[in-house]
Formats: sequence, structure tokens, C-alpha cells
Amino acid sequence: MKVSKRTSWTNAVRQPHYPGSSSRASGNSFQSSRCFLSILVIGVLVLSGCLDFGPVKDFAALSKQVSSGYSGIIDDMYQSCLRSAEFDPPKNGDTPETHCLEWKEVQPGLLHAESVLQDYLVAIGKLAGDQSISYDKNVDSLKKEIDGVKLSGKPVFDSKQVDAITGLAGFLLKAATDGYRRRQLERSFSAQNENVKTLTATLKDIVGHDYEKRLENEETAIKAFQIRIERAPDQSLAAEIGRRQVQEHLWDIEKKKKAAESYVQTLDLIAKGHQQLFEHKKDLGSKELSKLLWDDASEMVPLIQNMQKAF
Amino acid sequence: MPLSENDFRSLADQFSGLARSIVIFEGNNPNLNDTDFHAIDRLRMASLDYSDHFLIAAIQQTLRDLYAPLTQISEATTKINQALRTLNDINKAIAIAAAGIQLGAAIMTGQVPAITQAIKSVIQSVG
Repeated sequence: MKVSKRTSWTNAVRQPHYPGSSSRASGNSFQSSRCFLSILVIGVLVLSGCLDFGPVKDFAALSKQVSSGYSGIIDDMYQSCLRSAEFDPPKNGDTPETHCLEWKEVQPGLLHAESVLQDYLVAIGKLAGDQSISYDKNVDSLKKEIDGVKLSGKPVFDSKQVDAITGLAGFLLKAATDGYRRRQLERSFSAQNENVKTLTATLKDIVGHDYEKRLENEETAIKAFQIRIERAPDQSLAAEIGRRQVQEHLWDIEKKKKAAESYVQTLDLIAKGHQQLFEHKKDLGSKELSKLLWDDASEMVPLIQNMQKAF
Repeated sequence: MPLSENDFRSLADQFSGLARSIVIFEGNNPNLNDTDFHAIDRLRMASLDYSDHFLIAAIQQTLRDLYAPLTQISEATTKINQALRTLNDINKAIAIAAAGIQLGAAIMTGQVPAITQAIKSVIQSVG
């Protein structure tokens, strides 16, 4: 498929180049070649369509930003255990670090799970983005070459002809590559929709349950410390400082819980967005899909900001 | 039957809830003597440790269960990246086409140095 695509547009670009003589090259043959190119362009456009994948690209880019919030959360699972150990010093001679070692050990696996999702979204974004093909640069280079074609010291093509050839070549190039990109995106959305659902649901469990439960356990340790302060016969300044620190820690936990909730909501939006891509895989350039993804992105922005505030 | 990740999470919740209940009990009974208070507080700490233990077990089980979907998504990412490389090949093909145009023109002129130069350009583009 790759070869046939390439062949179709490269042949089209070369059509004006088989004139046989200079007079034919600049005369009727060029006209017929241009006509052929036009027909070919229309054909390719009908088959593949020139598409705007912008919303797909933007959705993928925004989903990627969620990643930094996640790494903060995963790091804080371990940090939360260390903070708890400040209030509940470990027994049996354990240091806080050895006491919390298991939380550190699960970090790489948790980070890897999310990075797989992010790598996938980044790749989708790149494929949806126009930057994978440098159309202007390529067409300019082609224009320069065609412009420089001379026979017996005379230019073969005049400037209008050069513009027509390169214009059509650029059009064809975009149509052909759009079709290729669309097919690749379609395949990915179809094959990975269930896996993306599973992965986002799992990450939701890890953050929405496991991390939040760790924060709750930290909260319990802090409240127990608060009770010990109240029971202490010494109600000096040190006890007052302790009370204030407790309050600050509790506020901090609240902020982190809200960030975790925001992350869970962004995961829902990522899963929903991928579902929409899956459902609209045959019309990725549609206004309806564009609107749906735009709505998802609009909801995602404040949630990402919430996460950035906490970590 | 081995415990599932949800079983581990349920156990973690129950021990976490127990620890929270103990703290509430401690707060509601300020007149507990030190011996009783310390005994019950040790139970609270143990409950928190158990809760953490089951949370980690849930995470480990979750990561094991994720192996297949993660592998499949990674494979899909590899395929997409291959597609991106194919698009880069298209970039390269344009350069080859451009060099080919020059070569065609050079052949038509019949001038050997021009042909040689154009062939070099094509080779460079392909390389």
C-alpha cells in the first residue's frame, strides 16, 4: 500500500516530465498532463479526502499534559507514607524509608502503566498532526527543481506552469498522506478502544481508591497525633505549634484529595474522548467529532490546573 | 481461590475504617488511662499498617492484570510510530522525485557532465 501511494503521486508529479521534446513539454503535452493531474487529484480526493485532524491532535496533546499530574500523585503515595511515619514513628527499629519501601517499589510499575497510555496518545497526536509531513518545504523544493529544468539553456516550464505543477503536486501529496494517516488512526482507535478503557479504569482505581485511601490513612495518623497532643500534660508553646502543624497537614491532604479527584475526572474524559474517536473513526474530520472533542478539552483544562496547584 | 485486587482493596478499606473508628473512640474518651490508651493506639497503628499492606497488594495485583492491555497498547504505539516513519519516507520520496526531474532534463540535453551531476543528486536523495 505504501509503495502504491508513493507511486501514484510521484508519477503524477513526473507526468509533465515525459514530453519527449522541449516544444511538447511546454505546449499541448503540458496541458494534457495538467488535465491528467486534475483528474488524478479529484480521484484521490474522492478516495481519501483532505481532512482536518486538528481536534484529534489537540485532544491528544491535552491528554498528554495530564501525565505530569499523575507522576506527582505516584510520588506522593510514597511521600504520604513518609509523612505518616513522622506522626506514627515505625516500630521494630524501622526507619521511615524502610517502613515505606513497598510504596517506593511499586512506583516504576505505576509510572510505566501510565506512560504506555501517554506514549500512545502522543503517537496519535503526531500522526493526526500535519507536522509529520513538511508540505511547504517539500513543495518549495520541488518548485525550485522544476523551475531549474532547462533544455539547451532554455527553461522548459514557464512560471505559471511551474506553479500549476507544484500546486497540484502539493494537493496530491496532502490528499494521499491524509488518506494514509486516516487509515492508520482508524485502525488504532478500533483495536485499542477496549484497552484504553481498561487502562483508564485501572488508573482510576489506583488514584481514586488506592492513593485516596493512603491519604486517608495519613489523615488518621495525623488525627491520632492530635489526640496525643491533647492528652499530653504539657500544654506549652510546643503543643500549640504541633496543633498548627496538624491543621496545615490536614489542609494539604484536602488539596491533594481534590487533585486526585480532578485526575480521575480527566481519565474519564480521556476514555470518553477515545470512545468518540472510535465511534467517529470513519469521519475523523467531522464537525460533530470536532465539537465533542472540543467540549472534552474544555472540561479537561480546569482539571489539569487543579492538579498543577496541588503538585 | 486467590484474592483479587478488589478483595485486597476491600480489606484495605476495612482496616482503614477500623483505624479511623479507633481514633474517634480515642477522641471521645479522653479519660482513658495511659495503659488502655496505648494498647488501643497500638491496635490503630497495626490497622493502618494492614491497610497499607493490602493497598500495596491490590496495586501489585492490578499491575499483573494490566500486562496484556499494556502490551497491546505498546504494540499499537509501535505501529503508529512505524506509520510516522512511512510518512517521513514520503518526504524522502519527494526529494528523489525532485532529483529525478533534474536527471530527466539532463538526459534530454545529452550533456555528460550535467547527467553525471544529476545522477549524483539522485543517489544523494536516495541515500
